[in-house]
Amino acid sequence: MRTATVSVPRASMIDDDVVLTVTGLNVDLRTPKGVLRAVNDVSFEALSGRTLALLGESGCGKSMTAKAVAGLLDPVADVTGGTVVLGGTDLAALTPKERLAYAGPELGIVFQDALTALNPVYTVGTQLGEAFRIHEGLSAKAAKVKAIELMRRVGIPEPESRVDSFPHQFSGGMRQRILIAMAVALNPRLLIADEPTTALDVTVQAQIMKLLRDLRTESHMAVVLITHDLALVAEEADTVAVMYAGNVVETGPVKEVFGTPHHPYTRGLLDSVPADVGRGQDLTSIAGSPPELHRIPDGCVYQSRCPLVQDICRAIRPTLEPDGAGRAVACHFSEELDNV
Amino acid sequence: MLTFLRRRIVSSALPLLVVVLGVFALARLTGNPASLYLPLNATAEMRANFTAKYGFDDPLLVQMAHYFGGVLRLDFGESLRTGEPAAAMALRAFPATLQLAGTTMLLAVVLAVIVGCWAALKPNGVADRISSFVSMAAASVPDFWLAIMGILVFAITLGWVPTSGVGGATSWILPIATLLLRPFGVLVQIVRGAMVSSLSEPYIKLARSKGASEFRVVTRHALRNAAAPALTVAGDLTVSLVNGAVVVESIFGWPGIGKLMIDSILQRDFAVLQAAVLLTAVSIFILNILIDLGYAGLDARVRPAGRRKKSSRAASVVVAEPKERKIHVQTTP
Amino acid sequence: MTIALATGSVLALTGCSVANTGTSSGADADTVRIVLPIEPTTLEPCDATLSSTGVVVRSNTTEPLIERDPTSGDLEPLLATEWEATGDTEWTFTLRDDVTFSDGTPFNAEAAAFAIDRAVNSDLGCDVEGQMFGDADVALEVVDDTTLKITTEAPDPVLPLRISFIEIGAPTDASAKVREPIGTGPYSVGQWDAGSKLTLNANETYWGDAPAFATAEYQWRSEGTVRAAMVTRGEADLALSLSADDGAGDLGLNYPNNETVALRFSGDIAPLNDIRVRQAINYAIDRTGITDSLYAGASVPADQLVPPGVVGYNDSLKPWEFDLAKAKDLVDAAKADGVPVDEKITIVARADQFPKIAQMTEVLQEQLGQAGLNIEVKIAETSVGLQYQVRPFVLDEGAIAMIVQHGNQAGDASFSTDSYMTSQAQMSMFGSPEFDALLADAATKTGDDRQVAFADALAYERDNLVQFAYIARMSGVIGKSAAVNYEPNSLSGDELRLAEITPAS
Repeated sequence: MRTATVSVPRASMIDDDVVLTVTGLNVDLRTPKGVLRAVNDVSFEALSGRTLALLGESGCGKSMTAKAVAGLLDPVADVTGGTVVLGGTDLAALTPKERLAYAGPELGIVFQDALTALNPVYTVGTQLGEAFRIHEGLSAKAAKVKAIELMRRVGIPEPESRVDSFPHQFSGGMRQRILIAMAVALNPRLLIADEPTTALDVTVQAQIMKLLRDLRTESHMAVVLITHDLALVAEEADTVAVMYAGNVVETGPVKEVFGTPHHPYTRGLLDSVPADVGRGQDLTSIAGSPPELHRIPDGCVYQSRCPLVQDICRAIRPTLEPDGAGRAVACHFSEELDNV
Repeated sequence: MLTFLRRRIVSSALPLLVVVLGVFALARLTGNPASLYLPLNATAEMRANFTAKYGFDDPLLVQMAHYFGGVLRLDFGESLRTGEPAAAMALRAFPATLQLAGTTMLLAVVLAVIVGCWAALKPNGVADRISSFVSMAAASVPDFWLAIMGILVFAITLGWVPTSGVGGATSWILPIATLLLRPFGVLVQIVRGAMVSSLSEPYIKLARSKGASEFRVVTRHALRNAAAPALTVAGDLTVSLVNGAVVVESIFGWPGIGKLMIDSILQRDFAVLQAAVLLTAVSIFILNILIDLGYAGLDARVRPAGRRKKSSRAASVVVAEPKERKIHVQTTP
Repeated sequence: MTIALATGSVLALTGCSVANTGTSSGADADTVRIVLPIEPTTLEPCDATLSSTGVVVRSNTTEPLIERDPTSGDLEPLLATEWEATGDTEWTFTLRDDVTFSDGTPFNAEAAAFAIDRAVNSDLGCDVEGQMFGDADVALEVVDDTTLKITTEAPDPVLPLRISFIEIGAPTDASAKVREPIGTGPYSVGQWDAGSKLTLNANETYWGDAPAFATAEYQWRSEGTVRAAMVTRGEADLALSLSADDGAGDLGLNYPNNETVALRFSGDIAPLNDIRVRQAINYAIDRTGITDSLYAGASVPADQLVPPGVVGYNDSLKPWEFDLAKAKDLVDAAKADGVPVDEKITIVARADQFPKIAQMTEVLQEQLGQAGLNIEVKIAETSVGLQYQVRPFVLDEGAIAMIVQHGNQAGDASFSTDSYMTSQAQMSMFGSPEFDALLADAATKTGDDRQVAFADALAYERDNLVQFAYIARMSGVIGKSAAVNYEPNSLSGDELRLAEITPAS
């Protein structure tokens, strides 16, 4: 069952190449209440050597989007539309079996909870080496050598002696480093980091983010950072896509979007952060809560919480309109926002 | 590892001793062998001679002291029925049961893993339905009835297999099928449940993110984690096979330890009963230790020598701790 | 996977010895295959009065001096050619001079004396001693090679009958039992795979006619259904101890097995200490209903403890009639005299002692209840049941009516009365001095006098004591394949003579 090593020619090792283009991505969930749209018409690009943040509250579809891109959706979720083009190949059009060849060499993903994401019954060495055994057909011994190299690369001390330890014998930060090492093992062009620091305390978070940054710079990866942490986005990301109820409501360079938000939701998010808090705070202070998936209204998805809501918002859902200067927003009244 | 073993041995030896003492006392308190072994019209003098000859007139504690004194010298007494050494009879019967139970458990585990995985991967599919049906049947159908129906249908009506006995390979089919139903029925649900929960664990997604094929994901990642609870249950089921073996061996004329035990109980053949129970208890004890070792081999977290991090997250990790297994040997038919 | 490996290695370790013990099916023209309910615990000749041993041993591997014809009850010569009483307490036996044991040892008076002495006088605890001789010893005198004198402690008119139960094994260790004896019979013990199979081979040097089958193969299965199935499927030629619903169908042969089922009363414990209550029970039992509905007519209502053909059987006694009104009247009369008829009477039965014993117990509970008695039921495992059946009895549980099954295989009523009827008998719970005297007197008589005396004693028991409520005279079922000829008789469950089995073709 070994998959042949992929030998797609790597894009030039420079920054700002388009690595990933997601266009019109739809993800439907099969539930007892019927088929629900969890991700709706989502589009974005990720560039090599840059970080794109998918920002939103929990349940907004950012994680589902990441899983759809990585081909790791749960059995009840299906991609029902759109393309996911990675290095020239539309991953969404491949069969699950064909996708296996891309998982690892082209695309790596870092999960949120390193303790449950690591298989408790295998040594970290075995798990680190697995990618090499699958994609490069290495022997167990050779894979272990690679595993030690990886551990050293992500800054785990004494890798030779710790390679045979089990996940539960490592601290949270070390486990997260191991997960990152696994994701970058085969030097993928795209790294998806799904809330990579949520489970960690603040000082460790900083170390992990630095590691991700260093790895990105080192190998010119495109990074998609999934997070609900505004401060993290502000510090780490180059561009941001703000998601709400399965839709992207605003995109653009982080500095511009955070400086002059064009969507009332983005604005609300920024306003809810008191000036003196740092990373790691939950977003709780916009009045009301996001609609449940089966109650998403026909018009604008944000209508129930929006201070600017008008009749048109209830009738027609705004589409994401590019402004021609690298930003886009889905709001009927984005111009008026500055005047509120 | 040695301390771990030693602790297991000490904690398992106590129930073992209790079982043997219990069997010793219960068998004696509930029936007098003199009336079983002497003719019904035997005279009082003959009864007295018999009772005195075997020391059954001594107080229970004295009899126990005698018996365990003998056990320490590896003298397990002689059969009242045949006059043979009890240990020899138990040892002679043991391999037949070991083969029967071993083959049954091997098949039960293999089938349960295949069907259970299949059922977990395809909920409400064929395998899922089969396994639910078999599990329900296993819980409700008595071994006895199953064995007799098996004989009537497959030996008499269809003529595929011999009714009973220990002939060629075909004579294994009915006894094993009868014994198999219960452990398979239980195990397949355990495997299915463990696989369902294992397959939904984040580490499965991690394996998939590395490009692991479905086969690799199921066999290397999900099954290895599902194996620990299945192993514990399989151990318990093996122990309870002793009960099944009593019925199955009696019906099919299988010369094993179950048949020996039930005959010895009915005949109050104390020495043989005790030897058989002791042998069974010791083998269950050994089985428990093997399972614990296997368990530790499967999952590093239960290895006592390992440095265990107490983090709040550890509590949410779904791992069944090896639970205390009791030695239960049925003392009545 | 680890589990599978572990279990696999268990299998590998133990090898496949069970599977290799040879095939059990597969008909062979020279072999007769018999399936028994239980494995013999031993083939020791002095224990041949145990059914499980006797059915294999008696007249197959070993033979007695005299054998009793199961149908006529007559004693016939076997290893002894003739015998006579040569004094009050002395009997002289003349033995054959042309017999050797299967190992070549000559059979003579010396060997016979050794075997009888070992069975009757030793401390081996032989079953035949308990069954037939009790504490009494016999003196043996070897006159010459073919003449043996046996002297009893007291006059014993039925000594030849007792002697017919002693199987003569070749001289061996006098102080230990033997599992696989040497005998003079038409077969000798071949291979005994404990737990699975026992083979007898024809004795090449047998003094009589050679048997039809060169080999006899015994197996054992505890379930009647399985034994019947083995005959149906052609895995066995004969299956013993079947019951009507074991499924032998046309292959099942019914035969009277001389077993009598009865309720035995604890006549010293109220309310059974009043004869009217015991009579009422007899009237309350619908015997024909029981034999017809439970045994489909294969058994018949019983009139007394011993069956026809036994010396002492009283053919003028008829089963008690079923008369519920009379039963109620008797209970009422007893009650009027202050007998506590409301106190419970427990019917005790030994589980699986004979087919449908549990159903019979239920029927009895219901019928006796209709007569106005307070009946409870206790079905006990054998060793527990024996505490009610045999001295020392359980006496602290109130009145007991125990279901007993008795078969007089000796042919003389004294063997039944000595065990069940005299007031001190091992299985009698009460009696009377008059009755004891009648029985003691009858035991000294011979010939027709003996028949009359015992018959009178049995009538006395019925009229004046009512120790029992006789219920049914049972029948047995043997499964027989079409491949062999065999005619079962009342002894077939205790003594299955292989020489009487012949191939059908």
